[in-house]
Amino acid sequence: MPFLSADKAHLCLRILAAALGGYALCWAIFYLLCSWLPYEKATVWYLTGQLAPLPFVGVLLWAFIIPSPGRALGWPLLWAAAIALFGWLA
Amino acid sequence: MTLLFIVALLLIVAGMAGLALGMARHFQAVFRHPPAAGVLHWWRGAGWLLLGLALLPCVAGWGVAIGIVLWSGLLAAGVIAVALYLARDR
Amino acid sequence: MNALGKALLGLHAWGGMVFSWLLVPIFIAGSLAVFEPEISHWMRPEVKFADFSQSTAAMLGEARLRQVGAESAVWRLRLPTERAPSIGIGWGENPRALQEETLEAVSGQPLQVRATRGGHFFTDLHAELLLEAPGKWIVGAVGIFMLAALVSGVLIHHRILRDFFTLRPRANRRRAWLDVHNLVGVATLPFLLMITYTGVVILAEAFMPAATYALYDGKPRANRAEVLKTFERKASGEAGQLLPLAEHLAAAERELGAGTISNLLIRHPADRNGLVQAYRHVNDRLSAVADHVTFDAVSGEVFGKQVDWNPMAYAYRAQVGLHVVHFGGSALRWLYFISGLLGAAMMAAGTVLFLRKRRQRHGAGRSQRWLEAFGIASVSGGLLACLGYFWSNRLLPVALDGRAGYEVVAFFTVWAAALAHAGWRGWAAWREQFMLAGLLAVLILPLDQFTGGGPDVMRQGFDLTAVLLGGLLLLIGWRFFGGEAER
Repeated sequence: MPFLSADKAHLCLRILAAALGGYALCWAIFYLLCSWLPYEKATVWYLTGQLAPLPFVGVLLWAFIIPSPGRALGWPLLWAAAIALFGWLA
Repeated sequence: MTLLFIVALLLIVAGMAGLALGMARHFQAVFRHPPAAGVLHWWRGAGWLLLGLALLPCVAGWGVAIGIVLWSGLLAAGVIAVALYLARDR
Repeated sequence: MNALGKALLGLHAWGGMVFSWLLVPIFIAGSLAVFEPEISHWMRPEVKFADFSQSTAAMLGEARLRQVGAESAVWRLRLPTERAPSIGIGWGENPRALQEETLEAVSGQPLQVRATRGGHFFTDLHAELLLEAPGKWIVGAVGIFMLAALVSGVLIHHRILRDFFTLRPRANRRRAWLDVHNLVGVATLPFLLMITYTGVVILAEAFMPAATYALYDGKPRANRAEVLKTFERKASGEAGQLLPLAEHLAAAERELGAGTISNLLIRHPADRNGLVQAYRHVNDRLSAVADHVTFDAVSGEVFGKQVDWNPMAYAYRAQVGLHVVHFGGSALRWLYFISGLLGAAMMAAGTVLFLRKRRQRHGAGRSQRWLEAFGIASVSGGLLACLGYFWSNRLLPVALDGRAGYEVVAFFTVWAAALAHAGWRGWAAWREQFMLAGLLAVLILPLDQFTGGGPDVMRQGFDLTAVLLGGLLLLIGWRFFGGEAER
């Protein structure tokens, strides 16, 4: 029996997707909001602080719902990259 | 404050009892006969009304913001009190 | 069940069990932390509850500060309240690292208070597992999972609406545990969503510094400096005569409301440019923001005042306030305390449910025994550890070196012993540990009678609560885990 069965590898991938994907997506969204919103710095900071749990919970649920574990990791990272790019252009 | 608290708690427990009696299973368990057509609506309506009324003592004693927090917290007490009563009955 | 439901069930059941090992102790500690000042008072029997007057207290605190810290650049004075009936003073050069002392609220005499972390231990355990920054990351991750578990729980326990108000204690065991899990979960769902969401918001500052990097070059607390007005000025070097603090306190009450001042901060108390800053309590508002006013220490004129706040910061602090419940008095505190314990009970019932099912399917192999041991240790073992902490507070010698640390050692020793016991005894440990915890809680009352040094209203309240909760634990051990030999 191999050290890591296919099921376990998939599970690890999903856990990685939930943790890494959520973190990357949250960071990207905050970066976009910070560079795009035309308000005072402190206002933006305190706004983002209140939204923090949402991307994490969304990605976590998504990572375990989606049938393909590869996509579970791929999509959040892709979205994070796209959103971060938007933020950089804004 | 204590009086307002007791009034609020009683209204919420009564309201939750109304909601429970608006469900056929609990109605049957309490009254020992199946509900007549349409009567469940009235119980549910009375329940919601009492729950709404319970907001008044909460807001009167604690102000709007804190009153709403208190009210929503008391809902849990109402659900559990009614469930425990119905469990005795079974 | 469809594929989506299956995926969510796996996440909810397995994830719920594993994360409950931390979530249950976090919820128990958080519930206790609601009563942090009361617990601290119980753990310092040298402090007596007495009728105090805040203006006398300001006078007494000032007199003591003049004795011990006449040369210091900063003084701090915590006024006595009904929840913490003593005067706290601090003096030194850096407001973040002051030398501290506790004074008797009526006489102003310094109290020889035993070294203990008091109720604050539970706050630290709850928020960061006593690990500071890494602990915040862990608790943050656990909180995020909790939110996902709540959402998936609503989706997979799809019968919860049909089974509303339903408890079947005399039905088969599985049914009964499922009813408890579902009913308590639904009843406290608004509370659980609120408390978990706001908890993650509070911790996000530590584990998600994206906005801090994007806006403030990664400088922590820079956001705070921007919304919090500080009224400060340099010392002049010339001596000045500080107006009595009781007069500053009276002036502050005129500015911010009678009986609302909780703390005074004095900068350069012996200088002509000295300042006295008074902070308002937050007991009557959702948002945990303390209005403050600063006076010229010598003339008593208002030097600056902040009662209006950035609305977004105010909203953010409302989330903090919702979590730490300084508002609403004892009604809200009890509500949070009970709801938090119910949340822990809901998770414990879920763990029991899962472990029973797994044992029926896979038998009592070694992995099953480990899972059961961790489950038992997290629930009843966590309760025993808290009780061990309280008992050690009264049984350790008062003058022991490093006393506060030994109380924490007692907490973790009991916890480790509970884990070992659970591994040894298996399922029977549920009952034994609940019974022992109940017994230890009930015996808090005689313990306090013999070691508490005289009657005290607040400590009697603590004892009574312990007796009631202990009775409840005995009942749970007897009824829920009784007559169920191994499974």
